[in-house]
Amino acid sequence: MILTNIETIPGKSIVEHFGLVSGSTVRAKHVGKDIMASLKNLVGGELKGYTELLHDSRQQATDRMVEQARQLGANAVVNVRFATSAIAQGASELYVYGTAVRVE
Amino acid sequence: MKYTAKALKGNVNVSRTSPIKEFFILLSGVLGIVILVYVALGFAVDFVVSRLPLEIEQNLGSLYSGIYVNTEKTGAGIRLQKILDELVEKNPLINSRQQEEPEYKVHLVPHSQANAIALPGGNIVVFSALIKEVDSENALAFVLAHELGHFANKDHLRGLGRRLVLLSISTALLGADSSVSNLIMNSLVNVEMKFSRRQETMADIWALDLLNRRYGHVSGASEFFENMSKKEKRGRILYYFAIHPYPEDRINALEDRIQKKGYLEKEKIPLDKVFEDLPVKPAGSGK
Amino acid sequence: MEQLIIFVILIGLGYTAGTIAERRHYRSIEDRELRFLNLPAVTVKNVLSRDDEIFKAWLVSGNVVISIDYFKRVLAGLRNIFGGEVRAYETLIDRARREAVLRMKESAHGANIILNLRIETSAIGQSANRRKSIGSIEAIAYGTAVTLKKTE
Repeated sequence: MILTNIETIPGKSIVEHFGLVSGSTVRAKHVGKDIMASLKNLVGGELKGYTELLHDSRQQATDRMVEQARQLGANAVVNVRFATSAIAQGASELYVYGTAVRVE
Repeated sequence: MKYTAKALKGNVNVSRTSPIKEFFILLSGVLGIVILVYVALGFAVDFVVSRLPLEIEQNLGSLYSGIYVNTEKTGAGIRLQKILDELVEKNPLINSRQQEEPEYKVHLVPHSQANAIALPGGNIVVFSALIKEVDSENALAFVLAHELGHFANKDHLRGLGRRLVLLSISTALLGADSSVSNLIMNSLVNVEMKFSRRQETMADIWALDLLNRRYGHVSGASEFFENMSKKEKRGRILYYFAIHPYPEDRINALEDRIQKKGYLEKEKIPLDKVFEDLPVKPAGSGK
Repeated sequence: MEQLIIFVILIGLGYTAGTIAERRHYRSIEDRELRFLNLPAVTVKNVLSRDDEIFKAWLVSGNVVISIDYFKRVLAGLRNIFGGEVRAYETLIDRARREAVLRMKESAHGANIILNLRIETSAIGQSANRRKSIGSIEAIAYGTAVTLKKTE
């Protein structure tokens, strides 16, 4: 499965498209890590716990989108967009969407 | 580029797991942790309470009883205070711990609930509906002695401390989400009640001993409970959740103690006339 | 005790009513998705062939605000303590986005395709009511609807 965030896939031509595919996931870190992060907030710097959390969940959301594209018979997803939002305190929601296509 | 219309089957973005199962797993996990922390902190509170200086307790008491201070002393209030004073004179702890006893004050508050409360600083609040449930001075003295028993065992501070611990745990752990902290508070109140009921029984026994010292006999000790159990048609199951033990259980516990110690039963002193026709509703409530 | 009973009743009510409402919403979403299967919405701009003649192009959008039931809110609150996937919120966001896309498609009368689709989500009602996060989100979908000239 090829993923791009541009209109096309360089060097290949799109022959067929299947419309929108998307994947999403909501994750939360446990209270211990939340507390550690709030302490880290005092001094600033990278919040490793959250970086990891968001990376993992974005990966899962992407996997879900790819799963949808595969179901439709696509072999690539073009113009992929990532979106993050906070639904509730401490939980973040990752959303990935794109257009499923078949390339040759 | 051609478009192929195809519908997706299933939904990869939604997990097919049972939310109820997840709910119970998480709930039991949270309760386990909270109970563990609560018990540990509860022991810490007990440790502090037994070493708390009297001045601090008095200060706490003045914070608490400020609401009741302005209730004017009526004839019934003065009479009640006299019964209490006579009891306190016989308090076995007065002599064992010099100058460690606060000045005990009783406040008679118009209220429709038959109950009495021990507040920090030696303040006892008696709701007027309770007096309607007793027929003799001895029974009234037993209720006051019961509250003195709470002071002797430091239950009033312990209850306060434990509730404080409860509150801090739930806010520390859950912060913003109030529905969850409500749930945990509610479950913990049940655990708390198990402690309370043991405390109530201990205070009953303590009061019985004091009553015997004051009047030379223990008549009227179980009068209040007998009247209550006659009146209340609540089943045993509901009492499982209540703060106080089932009245019949308390009567039985008292009778056991009476037999063991060989306490006597004599003529009861009838209730003073000033206790008749007390207002049950707060004066300002209108209706 | 009364509080606990009220809480249990609220949970039970939230669960049954929430599940019924969710099932009904999903049924409606699936029905309408099938109906609009021939109106694709894509995130790209250049899907039209050279010989397609564009008759009209305009901006279309659809939005929806959805909240979850009390049971799931409590469940999510509990999950927040332990961390991990918050499955209670999955259906909420899934429903919100699909509904937003469907409303956008419904407003695109006569369009053949919707280009350059963008979807945004935001949590609303929290800043005003910080202590009780009400667990509702807004999803908005927007894109350019294109009607092609009929080539006979």
